[in-house]
Amino acid sequence: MLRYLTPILLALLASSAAYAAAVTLASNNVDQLGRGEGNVVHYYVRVLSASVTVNNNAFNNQITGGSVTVASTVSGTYTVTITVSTSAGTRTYTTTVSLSPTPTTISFTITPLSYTDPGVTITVRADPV
Amino acid sequence: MRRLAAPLLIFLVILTPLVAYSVYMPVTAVDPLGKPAMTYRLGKNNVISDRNEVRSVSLTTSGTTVTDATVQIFVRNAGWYDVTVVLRDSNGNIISTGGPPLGCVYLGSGLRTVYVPMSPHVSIDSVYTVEASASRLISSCII
Repeated sequence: MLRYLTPILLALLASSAAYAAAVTLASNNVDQLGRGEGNVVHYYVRVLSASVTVNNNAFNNQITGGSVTVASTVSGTYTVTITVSTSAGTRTYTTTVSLSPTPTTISFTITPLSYTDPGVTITVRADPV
Repeated sequence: MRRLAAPLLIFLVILTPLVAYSVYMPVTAVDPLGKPAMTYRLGKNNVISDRNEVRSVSLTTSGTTVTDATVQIFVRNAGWYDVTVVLRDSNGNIISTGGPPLGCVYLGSGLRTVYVPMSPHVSIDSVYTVEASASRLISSCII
């Protein structure tokens, strides 16, 4: 009995080892989760600065625009959406720019928005085109 | 020769479908889909003796590590200020904080710039939210 089982067990062992080796070697070449989906691109948006410009220095002033410095770990064309929010409302600015790991400064203008306490929230989102 | 042929055949029969239908899924493929956005929160106070507002925040990096921040504040009430920069991760947890090197800083009226070293130094890719605020102190924090 053992005489017949031994070669089978050896074959199973060898094939398992070969399969493991194949998976390990090929694991660096995978670029997608399934054939029905597009490429899975992992990018990290890096916003290195954000500033607002105001219409005057009085306390009840308004935000009229600003600038953000943005980079992405994956170079390409992105739709960048800048959302500016205070307790008085929200403004959105959208543009299409090329991003790369080297930071790019994007200046934006918005319809005046009261700069109220407790402050302003600026969200920068970049989606690949 | 026949003794060798049998295990070799079994080996090939098992190996072929395994290789053909194997799905390679490295760790990067099941990682979160990166970080498409970041948020900055610039503070503004509305207290009679403290009506300042943050106008800008800039992070300084060494490679991909955030080491310092520079905060621009419009000061309407000159005095001693505590300036705070907070970095948060994707779950809103604080991962790094910073303040003036001496704990507080005297700021005259007008647009002022404050240098803020961050601690600990964290990767910019783990930062999802940057918060900057300034609050006027009754007196200097420096003894």
